[in-house]
Formats: sequence, C-alpha cells, structure tokens
Amino acid sequence: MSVFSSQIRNRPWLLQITLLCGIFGALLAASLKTQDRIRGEGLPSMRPQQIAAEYSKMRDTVHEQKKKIADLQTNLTKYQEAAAKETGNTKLLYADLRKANILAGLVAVTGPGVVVTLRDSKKLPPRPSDMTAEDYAVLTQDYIIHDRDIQGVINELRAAGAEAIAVNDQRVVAITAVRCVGPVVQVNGVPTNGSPVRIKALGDPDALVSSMVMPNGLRDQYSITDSSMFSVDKIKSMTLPAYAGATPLRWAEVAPEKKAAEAQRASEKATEDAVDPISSNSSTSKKSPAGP
Amino acid sequence: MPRSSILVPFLGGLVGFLLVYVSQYTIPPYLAPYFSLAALSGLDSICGGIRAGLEGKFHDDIFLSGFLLNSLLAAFLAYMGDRIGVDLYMAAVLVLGWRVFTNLSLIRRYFLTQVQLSRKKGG
Repeated sequence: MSVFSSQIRNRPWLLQITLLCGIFGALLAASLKTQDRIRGEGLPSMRPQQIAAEYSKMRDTVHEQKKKIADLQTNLTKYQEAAAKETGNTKLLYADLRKANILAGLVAVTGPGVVVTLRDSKKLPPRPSDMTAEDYAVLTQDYIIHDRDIQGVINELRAAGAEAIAVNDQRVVAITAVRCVGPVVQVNGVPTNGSPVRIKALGDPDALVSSMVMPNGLRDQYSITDSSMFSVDKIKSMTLPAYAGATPLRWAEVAPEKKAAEAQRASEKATEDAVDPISSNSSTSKKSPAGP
Repeated sequence: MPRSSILVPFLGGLVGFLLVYVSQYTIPPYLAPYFSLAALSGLDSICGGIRAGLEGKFHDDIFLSGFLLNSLLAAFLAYMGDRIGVDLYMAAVLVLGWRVFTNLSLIRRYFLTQVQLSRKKGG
C-alpha cells in the first residue's frame, strides 16, 4: 500500500490513468459482450455468403419436399386403387374419388386435347432513347404476354369444356394463381418461361379449337397486334402432370346441411334474377342468361 | 521503479474489464459501435496521458477533456457517417490508432533511454 501511495506521490497522474484504464476495460468488455451477442443471434448480421448458402440449402430442401409430395400422392392413388378392387361399394366410392382427383388436379391425367402457345411479339418496336421505362411499358403492353392473357385463354378453354389444364407443365387447380413477375410467369408459385407460354388443355380437341378460332375470338384479337403471338394445335394424346404443391386447407370446411341448402337457394335466386328482365319495356335483359 | 508504474494502470484496466464482463449488464446492440469507438478513444487518451506524465507535462484537465471530447467526436462521426452513407468512423479509427502507436513508441523510447541512463550511471 505504501508503495502505491509513494508512486502516486511521485507520479500524480498515475491515479487518473488507472481510473481511465478501468473505464477503458469496462468499455472494451461491454463491446466484446455485445459483439458476441450480435454474432450469436443469427440472420440479420450474417454475411451475404452465409445467407446465400442458407438459401441454396432451403431451395434443395423445398425441392426434396416437392418430390416427396408427388411420391406420397402416387402411393395414395395406388392404395385407393387396391381398395377399390375389393368390394362393389368401394368401387363406386373409388370412381367418385377418381373423378374428384382428376377435377382437383391431384392425379396426372392423359387424353386428347389442344395446346395453345402464346409468345411475345417479335415486332416489338425498339425503345426510343428519350422515353421512360414506364411509358415504354405502356406503349408495348400489347406486344407482350401478360398474366391476364394466360388467364383469358384458361377461361375460354374452360368455357369450351376443358377438363384439365396445365400452364408450362404446371397443373392449374382451384388454388392456382398465374402471375407475371417481370419476364417470368409464376404458376403455383413456380417460375416458368414468360415466352413462349404453353397452355395444354385436355378435352374434346374440336370443341376447344373452335372456341379459340371463332370470329372475334382470341386468335382474331391477337392478330390485331401480331398473329404470331397466338397459335393453337390439336394433340391426339397428352399427359398433364398432377399438382405438385402442398394442399393445406386452413379455412375451408365442408358445410353442414342447413348452410349448404341456404347457399344452394341463394345461387338459384341469383340465376332467376339474371333471367328476369330488369324493366318491363326492355326486350333484352342486361345480363346474359346463366348457362346450365 | 519505472517498470512497475505501468503495472498499476494495467491492473486497473483488468479490474474494470472483469467487472463488466462477468456481470449481466449489456448495452443495446445499436449502441455497440459507439462504445467501441469510445473504447478506442479511451485507449488513445491513456497512452497520451502516460506519455505526458512521463514527460512531466501531465494536466488532468487536458487529459479528461481530451478523453470526453474525443469519444463524443468519434461517436458523432460514426452516427453522421451512418446517416450520410460514408464510413466517417474510419477517420476516427485511423487517427486514434495512429496516435496510439505514436504515443506508445514515445513511451517505449522514454523507458529505454531511462534504462540506458541508469546503466550508464551504475556502470
């Protein structure tokens, strides 16, 4: 202790230096602890290379899961088939189940049909140097395939009786969305080529083709801009893949009988309203009569 | 003895370090860079203070104000650098680091000449 005080006497600065060293040590410790904590916490502070590695790992996992789903779906179908062979009742049930699976897109289907090919027009005018990207997009929107074009084709095909549809080999099911993201078309969330887009539809080839080529139909509409954007071909036999995504049903449940009956009455009433003329002196109704 | 007088501040630093490290107090992560810069500025003040003390020119007001103001300036540079997108904190890091090295070499020279002088006297 006396050594210490003698040193302080000789060197009056020693005390303050020691105090400051203490503060410095404290600051250093605080910084070290915080850095360790930041590094330990994970994603936000990871370097880009680590994030890229995580991403490709996730992508591989998703790929595997999708394969697994497809395999499980195949197994399920096999078991259903095996069960159907057992008794007559199960056979009937299995027939219903098969139809439901086909309509729902959960099994691969084969049969005749058509393929509609949509492509961006090659006649795209070049962009003048003084035009902004937005104005150019508006100018050229008729020359490029958008998601509404694909959706329009799907609508027409369905109206003509298509029983199964696939866009760029992605099966279109009740929860499928077709969206444009830049140059890529996402179907079922899977990115596919934006041009050409191949829409395969299974059904009566003649009926499907005539729905496309009827006067003022889709083919005529595309020929206004460029007839090479649209083409339809009959296919003698094709196979459409099953829907390969997950099918979580988080919100929908089978409705109980009373509610189902109410909904049925509401839809019948909507049909009647559409067919009745709106005013007594108009001979044509504003809405077209609802189909069968 | 000159050599042991370095030991005391070092021990002080060690005590301060251990006290904070083993405690459960942490600072929020968004303050971390400022604390690191304050630590660096503290190191610069320590080395400057030791050098001034060995030369006999130590003034505690200069010492204390130097530490506080340097820390504040470094923190301010870091904050402004974040806001304007330029790594301004690097200026603080470079200058403080350079001063640490300069002061350290002066301290070293002082001790070595002391040793030489004492050898000459004794020898």
